[in-house]
Amino acid sequence: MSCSIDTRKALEFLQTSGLVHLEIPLEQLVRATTTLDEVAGYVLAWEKYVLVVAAECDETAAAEQ
Amino acid sequence: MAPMNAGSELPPPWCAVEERAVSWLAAHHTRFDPDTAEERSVLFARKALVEMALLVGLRARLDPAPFDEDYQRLFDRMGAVAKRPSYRELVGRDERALLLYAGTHAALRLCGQHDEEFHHLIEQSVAGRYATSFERIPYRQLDLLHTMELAGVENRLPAVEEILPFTLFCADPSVLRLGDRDIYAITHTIFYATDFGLRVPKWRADFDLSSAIELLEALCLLCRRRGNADLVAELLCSLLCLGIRDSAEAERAWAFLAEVQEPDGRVAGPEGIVHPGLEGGDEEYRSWATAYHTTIVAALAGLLARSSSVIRRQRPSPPAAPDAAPTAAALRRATGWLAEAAVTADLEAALPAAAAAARGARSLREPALAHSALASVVKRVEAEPGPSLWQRIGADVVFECAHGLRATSGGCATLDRFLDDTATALSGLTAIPAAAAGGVVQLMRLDRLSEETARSLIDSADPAPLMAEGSPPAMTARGLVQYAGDDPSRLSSRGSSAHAVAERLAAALPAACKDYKLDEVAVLLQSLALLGWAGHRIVRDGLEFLLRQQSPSGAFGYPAVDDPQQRASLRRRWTQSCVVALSSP
Repeated sequence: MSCSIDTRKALEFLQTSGLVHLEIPLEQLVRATTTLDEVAGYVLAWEKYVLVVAAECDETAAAEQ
Repeated sequence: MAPMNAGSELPPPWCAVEERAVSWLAAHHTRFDPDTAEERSVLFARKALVEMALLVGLRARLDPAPFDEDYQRLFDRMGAVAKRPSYRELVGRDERALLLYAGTHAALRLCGQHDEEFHHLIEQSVAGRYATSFERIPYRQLDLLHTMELAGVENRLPAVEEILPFTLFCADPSVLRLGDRDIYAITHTIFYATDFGLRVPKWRADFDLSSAIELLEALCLLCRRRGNADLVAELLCSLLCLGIRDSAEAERAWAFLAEVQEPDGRVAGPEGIVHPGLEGGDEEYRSWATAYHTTIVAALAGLLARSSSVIRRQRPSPPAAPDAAPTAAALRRATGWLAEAAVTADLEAALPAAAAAARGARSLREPALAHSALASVVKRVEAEPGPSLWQRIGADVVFECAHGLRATSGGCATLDRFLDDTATALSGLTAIPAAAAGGVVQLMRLDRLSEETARSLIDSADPAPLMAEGSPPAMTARGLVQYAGDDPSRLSSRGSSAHAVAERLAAALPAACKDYKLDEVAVLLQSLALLGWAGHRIVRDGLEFLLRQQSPSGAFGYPAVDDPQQRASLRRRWTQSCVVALSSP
C-alpha cells in the first residue's frame, strides 16, 4: 500500500495543535477587571499626596471650563 | 553567579549601589527643600523630604560611623527645613498630613537632634483627637505607629500585633493578583512591623515565614521582569528586614539594581511613578522627580545589607508541598465533563474534547473515563466520507486519541493508517524542527517509530530558537510543550537558558490571569512544569487560579455571556486547555 503522506505534510502535522488555542478569544468581550487605579489617579503609596493632587487637578479642570 | 552565603558581605559592585545613590541624592539636595519648589510641586517636595529624612535617620541608626560628606549634606538640608516655622507649624494646621511632618522630626531624633518645639507641635496635633484617629488602611496605621514610636510621642493607638492580622501581607495573597499598590502595602507593612530589620514582630499564629519569603521573591522576580527598579528595591529591603540574605532572587535583584543604576548614581523609577500634572516641561526636574524615590530605596537596600544591627536569620525550609488531591479531583470532574461534551458536540468539536478527556483519563490512570467519548468520535470518523480529518485536527488530538483507544482496547482503522503513514514519511529524515520533536516522541510511545530512529530525530532538534526572546510568551510556551512531548527532562536539563525562559513565561502569568486568557494560563503552566518550575510560588498560585475557575459541573471558566452556544463553546475550549495542563507530568 502506498504512503499517502509526504515528508513535508508529516512535519507540518507534527507541529500543529488542536488543544492549545492562542488566537484572541471571546473573553476580550467580557473583560470585567476594574481600573480603579486609573480612576483615582493613584500614584505611589501616599494617600495625602494623591488626594491633594487629584483635588487640585479637578479644581484646575473646573476653572478651565 | 556564585551563591551568597548567609551572613556574607555583599560583593563590591553591589556595595557601591548605596554610595553612588547617596551621592546622586546629595547632588540634588536642594530639590528636597519645599522652599525651592514651584508652587504646584511644594507638596511633592515635602513628601520627598520626609522620605529622604527617613533614609538619613536610618543611616544614623544603623551605622555608628559619622556621616560622610553626602549624608551630611542631606542631613543639613533636612535640618534646615525642619527649623522653619513655615514647615513645622503646618503639623498643627494640617492634621491629616501628620505623617508628612512627624517623619522629619522622627528622623532628626534618630540623628540625635531632638527638637523640643517640633516635638510639642506634634504632641499638640496628636492630642487634638483627629490626626491619629481618622481611619487609615492597615499599613498606614502601622506607618503611624512606627512614626510615633520613632518620634517618641505618646499615644493610645492599638499595638502592631493588633493591626498585622488585617494586612495584605499576613493574608499570604496570590502573587498573580497583586498590583503595584498592593506590593507597596506589603513592603511597607514589613518595614514598619520589623522596625526596618531591628525587631521580630509577633506575627499572627498562622504566619509562615517560609511562605512570606517565597511571596517576596516571586514578586521580586515579576517586578524585575517588568523593569520596575522601585519595587525591586523595596522587595529587596523587605527580605533584608526579615533577616534573609541567603536568596538567589535577592542576588538577581542586586545585579539588576547595579545594572540599571546610572553612572552618577541615579536609579530611575518606572513609567508613571510621578503624576503627569507634576512633570511639567523642565527636564532636569523631571529627571529628579522620576528617580528620587527609587534612588532612596536603592540606597536603603545597601544600608540594610551592610548594617550589622539588622537582624539576620537562617533561611527557613521551603513550605510543604501542597496537597495534590484537590488537583486530581478537579481533573477527574473536568475529564468527565469533557467526555460527556464529546458525545453531544459536532465532530470537529468532539474530537479535541474526546482527546483531552483521554489525556485526563490517562493521567488519572482511569482510561474508562474517556471510553464512551472515544467510541462516539471513532464511530463518526469512520462514517466520514473523503480524506481523513486526522491530518488537520491537530497532532496532540491525534496522539491523545490513539493513546486513549489503545488503553481502552479500542481501534480506528483510519487513525492507524494515518499514524503509520506519518511514521513512514519521517523515517527517511535525519533532522526535524524542534516543535516536531514531541510528536516523534509520541510516535515512538505508540510503537510507530523504532526507538533508534526516534532518538536520532529527537536529538537533531534544537530548542534554542524556541527559547529565544521575541515570540509572545504563550507562543513560546506552546512551542516548548511541542518540543518536550511530556518529557520534563528535555527542558529542565538546559540550565541557564531554561531558567531565563521560565522567568519570561512566569512573568506573563499575571497579565494572562488579569485578562482571563485561560488558554494562555494553562499552556504557560504546562510549559513551566516541563521546565522544572512546578513547585515555584508563581506556578503554584497560577494553578490555584485555574482551580478557582471550575464550576461544580466540572467545566472550567466563567464565560459571562448569556448565549448558550457561546457558553458551551468557550467552556469546552477552556476545559480542554485546563485538562491538558492539569494532566501534565
